[in-house]
Amino acid sequence: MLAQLLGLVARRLFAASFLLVGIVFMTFALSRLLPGDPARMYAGARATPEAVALVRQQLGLDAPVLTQFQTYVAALAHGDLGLSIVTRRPVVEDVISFLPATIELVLAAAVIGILAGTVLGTWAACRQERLPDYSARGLAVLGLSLPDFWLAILMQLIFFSALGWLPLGDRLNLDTLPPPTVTGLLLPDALLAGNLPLAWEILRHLALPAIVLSLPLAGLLTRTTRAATIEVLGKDYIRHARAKGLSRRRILVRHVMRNAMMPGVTVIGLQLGFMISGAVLVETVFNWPGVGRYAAQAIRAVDYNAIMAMTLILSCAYVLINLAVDLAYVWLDPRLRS
Amino acid sequence: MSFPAVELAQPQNSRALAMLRLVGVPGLIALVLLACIAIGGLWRLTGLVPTPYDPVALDLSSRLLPPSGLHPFGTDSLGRDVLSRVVAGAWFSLMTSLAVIAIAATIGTLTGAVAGLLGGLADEVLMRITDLFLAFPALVLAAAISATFGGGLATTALALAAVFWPWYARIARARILGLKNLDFVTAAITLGASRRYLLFVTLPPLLAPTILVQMTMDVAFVTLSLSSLSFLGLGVQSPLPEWGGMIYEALPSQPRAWWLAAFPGGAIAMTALAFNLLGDRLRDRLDPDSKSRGV
Repeated sequence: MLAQLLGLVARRLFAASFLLVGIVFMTFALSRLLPGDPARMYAGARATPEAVALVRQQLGLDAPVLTQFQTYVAALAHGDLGLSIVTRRPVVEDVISFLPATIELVLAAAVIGILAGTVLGTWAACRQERLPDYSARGLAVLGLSLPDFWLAILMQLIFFSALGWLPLGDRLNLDTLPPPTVTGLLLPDALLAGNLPLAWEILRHLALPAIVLSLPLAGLLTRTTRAATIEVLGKDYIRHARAKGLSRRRILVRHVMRNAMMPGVTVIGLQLGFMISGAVLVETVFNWPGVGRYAAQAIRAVDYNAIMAMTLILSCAYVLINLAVDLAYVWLDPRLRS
Repeated sequence: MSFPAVELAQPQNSRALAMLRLVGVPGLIALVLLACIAIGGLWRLTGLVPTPYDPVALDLSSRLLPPSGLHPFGTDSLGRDVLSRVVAGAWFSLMTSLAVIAIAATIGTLTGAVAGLLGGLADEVLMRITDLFLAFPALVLAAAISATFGGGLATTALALAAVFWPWYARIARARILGLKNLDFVTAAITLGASRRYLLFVTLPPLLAPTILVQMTMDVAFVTLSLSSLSFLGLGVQSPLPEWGGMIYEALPSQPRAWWLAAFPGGAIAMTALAFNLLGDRLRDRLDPDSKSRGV
């Protein structure tokens, strides 16, 4: 039993490491396929041929491809992803400084999406073919169809321009100092510092981007939860629980929701991965200082090192999220263990 | 997912009516979008101006006008008519998406079908390659590929096709594995059908519905992805109109000139919504397995 479980976990880990190696290889291949001459780009347009040759030598671009790959992997192993051509800083430093903002945003969006999806899906299933069902299903399909960068702009128009309830963007007001860094996430840090007004301000900044980013997850999770709940409601053990005289709420929480959440776990994992793409767009609109905005800026500035580094980092994050979900699934569903 | 279909006063047994009831409102929206593609294509390919204004003509005397009778969707910061640009933009946004789907579906279905039919080592190798492509977050990989080759519409379309084909490979392979051992396939093999005959004659009719449903749904997904990439500055280059690119150009004048982002984004949303709903309906109709699941 335990051996089987370990075998399953080992297989998942092996598959994930295969994918990670593949990702490293693909990003390397992409970075060597660049149409222009990276050495010339790096040296600048006015550099003499000698200077370009020197840069090429310095960057190791004159070595055989296999040697270049070795150098690339060796550098990666040391956490070296090259210099950003725009900021002239190591890309890794840039990423580390922008990462907490993205983590805070994605976590907030995940919480909102999971809560909304589970509640709406369950509610819709309990009131099948009635108003709650129709509205939940309508919201679900909207969440999957509306372009998030557009929705972000609309939200700004409504809640900033028209109503004036929420700020336009950024993590803080321009003249506010961030709380002392403990976790790097502003909201927990402000709460740890006991600064409630600051926490409120942070929350107001976080609200719109997090809601927009959470919508695809909320939509898909609503659908999945609804379908799974309908299926579970028809099961014999639910009838049995009813016959035993258990209260509606107890049946719903202990028997229905626990079993109906399983397919949702897959959706959550998949959508957390998609949020990585979504963050690039949403952060751009809300001027959110995270890695997504950094990636978008790198693309606009044609900063190849930063683009490749971001591809590598975001893809690895995606693989690791999916691995975590796979393992969570094994943990949640006893049937997979036997 | 199914909204109540359009109720028709007198149900008749005509094919057209049955079809209309199947596609409903989403189908009608899709028709309008097709008309927009045609108008945009006419403009792009012949140089005629079938839209109220020339989509790229500058008019600096009427910059940033809010929606009015003259300009129902307003004008942008260079005085171009937003309605004309949204309509003509259908050519770039939707035709590109359709092309992406056609390429991705062809490559993916062939790969998956071959892998499923051959089995063994070929299957293993093809599917590991497929997995590798699926290991990347779609938009990030497409952006990286497109940026590597310098952006532009054709490059971005190919990058999207490179991201979307693995899904078709998976679906096709799964379907083929299910079909492979059915009696009629065995019968075909007994009668001397070659693998190529199976691949191109025997199996396609059974593979087609699944692939078609996926293609319909992907119109929504690919249109969203394409406009996202345009929004990042890849894709169509200014001054040509493309919905995602228009929203990107609108950013500096937000939130004052709301109409600049609202209308092109609305077009993207309508497209995605219509094709998502259409895909659901087609799936219920063509793929009986999923009918009762209600997902």
